Amino acid sequence: MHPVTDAPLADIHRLRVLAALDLADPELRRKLNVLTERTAGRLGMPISLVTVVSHVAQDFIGSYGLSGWMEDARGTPVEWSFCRQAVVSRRPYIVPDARTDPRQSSNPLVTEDGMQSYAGVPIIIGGEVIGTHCVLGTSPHAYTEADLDELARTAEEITALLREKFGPG
Amino acid sequence: MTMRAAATTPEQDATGGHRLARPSLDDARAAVHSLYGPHTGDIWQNLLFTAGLTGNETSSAAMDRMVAVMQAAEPLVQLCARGLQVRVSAYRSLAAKAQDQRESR
Repeated sequence: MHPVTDAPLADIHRLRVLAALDLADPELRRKLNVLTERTAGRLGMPISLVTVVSHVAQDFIGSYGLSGWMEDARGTPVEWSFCRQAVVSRRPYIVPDARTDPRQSSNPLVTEDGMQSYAGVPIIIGGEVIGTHCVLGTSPHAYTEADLDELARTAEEITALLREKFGPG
Repeated sequence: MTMRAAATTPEQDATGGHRLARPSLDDARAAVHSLYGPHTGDIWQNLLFTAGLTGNETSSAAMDRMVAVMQAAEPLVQLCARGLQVRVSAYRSLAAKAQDQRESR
């Protein structure tokens, strides 16, 4: 049993913002996929995502480079989510080597699926962190300030797309 | 909230090293309870009634029916359903992969 105890994940105000978003729109997903492909290319990483994180699961609303079960499920249980750390802290979250990271070394995405590095920045709508824009690597990776700047700039584009669709927030 | 991430033992775990328990009606109720607290009882009973369930069912079909009913409910319950659907999809994909690996040994 692994209790999910991060109170901000189940914050009712944050979840009301999430619940108001219709994230199934295929055109929105297509645009987000384009942005994730661009981010992966610019940072030289194999996987890039746009995630929304609820108290139950993270949902990949834009993705590039996924395969296998994560591509099929288009998300993961919330307790495996790297992105939840950025949601809870409201700050960028970086894991240069997940195999030695105390918080992530036993994460099945690391031990079973080979994810070994992560960098993600929050996406904020209506004052609430709904998820992240992030990259994942299958080997350890030292992320730079320039990498985080690139993620943050694209996160602003993602926010603009979501606001265009759902209002100013 | 508490989600059952790990099965009791690795031997009982259908998803191999991921140790993800099969999503259940208890998980669905826990997801709703996180949002509605003491008001969960009435909401849960309405969901069960609409789905034609008692709450004691343990089958995948019952879980599928509950998720479908939740997807047609109010937005916060729909949000729970989205997350539960991800967990169901992840469980099924991982269980199928683990089954393939067992059969290929």
